[in-house]
Amino acid sequence: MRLRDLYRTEIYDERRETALSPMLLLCLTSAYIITVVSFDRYQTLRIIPLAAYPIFVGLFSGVSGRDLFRKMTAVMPFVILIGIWNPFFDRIGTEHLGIIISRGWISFFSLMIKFLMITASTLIMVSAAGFDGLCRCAAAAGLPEVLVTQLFLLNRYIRLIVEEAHNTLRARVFRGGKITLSNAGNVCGPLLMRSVSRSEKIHNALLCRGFDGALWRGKRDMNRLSRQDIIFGIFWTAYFLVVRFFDISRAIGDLTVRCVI
Amino acid sequence: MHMADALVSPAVGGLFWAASAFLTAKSSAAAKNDNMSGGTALMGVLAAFVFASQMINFSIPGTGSSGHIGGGLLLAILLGPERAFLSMVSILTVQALFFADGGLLALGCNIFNMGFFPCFIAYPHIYKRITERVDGPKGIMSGAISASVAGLLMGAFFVVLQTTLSRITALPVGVFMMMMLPVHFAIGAVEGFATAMVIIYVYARMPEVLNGGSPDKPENGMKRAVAVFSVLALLTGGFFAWYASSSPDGLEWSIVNVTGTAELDAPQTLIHSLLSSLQDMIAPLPDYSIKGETYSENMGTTVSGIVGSIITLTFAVFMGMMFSKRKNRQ
Repeated sequence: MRLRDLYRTEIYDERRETALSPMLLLCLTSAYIITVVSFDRYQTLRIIPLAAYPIFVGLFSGVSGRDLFRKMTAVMPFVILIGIWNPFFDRIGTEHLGIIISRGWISFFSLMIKFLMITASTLIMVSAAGFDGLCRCAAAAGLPEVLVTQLFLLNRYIRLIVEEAHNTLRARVFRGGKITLSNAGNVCGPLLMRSVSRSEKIHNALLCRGFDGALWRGKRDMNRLSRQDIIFGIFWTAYFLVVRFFDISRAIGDLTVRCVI
Repeated sequence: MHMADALVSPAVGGLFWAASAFLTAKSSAAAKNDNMSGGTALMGVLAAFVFASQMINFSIPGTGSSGHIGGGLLLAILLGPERAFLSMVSILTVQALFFADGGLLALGCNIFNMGFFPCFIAYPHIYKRITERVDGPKGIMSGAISASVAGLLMGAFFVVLQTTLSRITALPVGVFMMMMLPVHFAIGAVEGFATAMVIIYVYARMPEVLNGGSPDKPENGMKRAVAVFSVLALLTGGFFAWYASSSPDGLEWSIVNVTGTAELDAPQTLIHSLLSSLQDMIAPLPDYSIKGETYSENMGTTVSGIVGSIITLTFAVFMGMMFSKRKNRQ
């Protein structure tokens, strides 16, 4: 991950008013991911109708497609590195539309489609629910208080410390210094010591405000779903089940082809 | 080394989610009881520090490549294993949710690979033991490099294990392992060196920071949990090594030896036939072991599939835009 990627969090800056509960979005996205990965590696066409979920929720919550794609391409290399070997080791050919294509390529495309769909749905969920919203719903669902506080604090201090690291690097480069491995102590050491001092100040400030070990305590009724949430949840769960157990793209395609011809 | 959701199957993802959730619950309980002064704020800020410092890539002279500090090990040295593990959980969660580095289903795998091994195995059993025997910067340097290499190799081994058990890649296990382990050995050495440089810098100027974090007596419950997971990891690793070496499939080999045939006949009961028809419905290519053949897909099936997919997605775009406009009007 590069330094500049951290500043690409603009799509998460404000909670988009989707009016959907963060808990519902978290559950639906988890169900979506499990549905997508449960398909066999050669079932490329069967997975495609599932792209409807990120497309719909992304459009509904107004997430920029360009920002999403930029984020996804940053982490794509590792998946490509693992998937690209499939065409070399799985050379059995299959015929599609008169073209013979190896099953290795089919499994590679299926892996890439799965990766794009899952990554998009996760990023859209965070954008639509907001990080704070997700932490609150997780706390209300019973996530340990220590971890919830840790997530809140990390989210708050990331930008601050990254900004400091950025300034240290810039100052060093402007003065002709190099960022080599032997300088790791001189570059990161002072930053670490400043971070420790900063944490003492934060701790004292928290104590002044009556901090008792948790920044936010979850209330169970926070995760209560509205009627709109329930309808949304039922619709998409049913859709995932239908796509999982029936080949709906083929059924709709058959129907259309028969009507047209 | 982040596993993506697309690389794990629900069973493997679920298994490592359970293991990581258990370790997180145990660590949270231990952190709550250790009464470390200012520990909460320190954890938050140090996690942010690791996040920031991992973005600084130090060039390695003469190689053209670069490396950064090892997060898990550094946090374990400063905070102790339990708090370091919790910090790693938070870092990996933020990476998965904000940066698409990893994913929700693979989060359990990533926490296990990058949190459990450096915090609970490499730090207490390698780094701490070496620094107890060898004083000063020499001990820190050798301890950090050895612990970092060991932690990363264990993590990389589990990446291979999780990907292979998920049946995502057609890459033979031996080749995959030969691709991953040497690379991670080198990365581990570089990360260990960079981490040691930072620790030596702090050791010279602020030694109390290094002693403040690690409680001397870890809770018995936590010790037991770590011991159980270490044994399980060893057993899984041992089984996997055997599985990988017995070509092509260890389970089939053992079935052949026991029954004389490669596949067992399922008893024909109502439940079995129901489950078998359900399995056929779920996995249209249930046994992809046919070799040297070319399948011919029905052209009509492929055309229908493509047409159907286009119609479904167009409908989703249309509905999304319609609901979005309606919401804006409201």
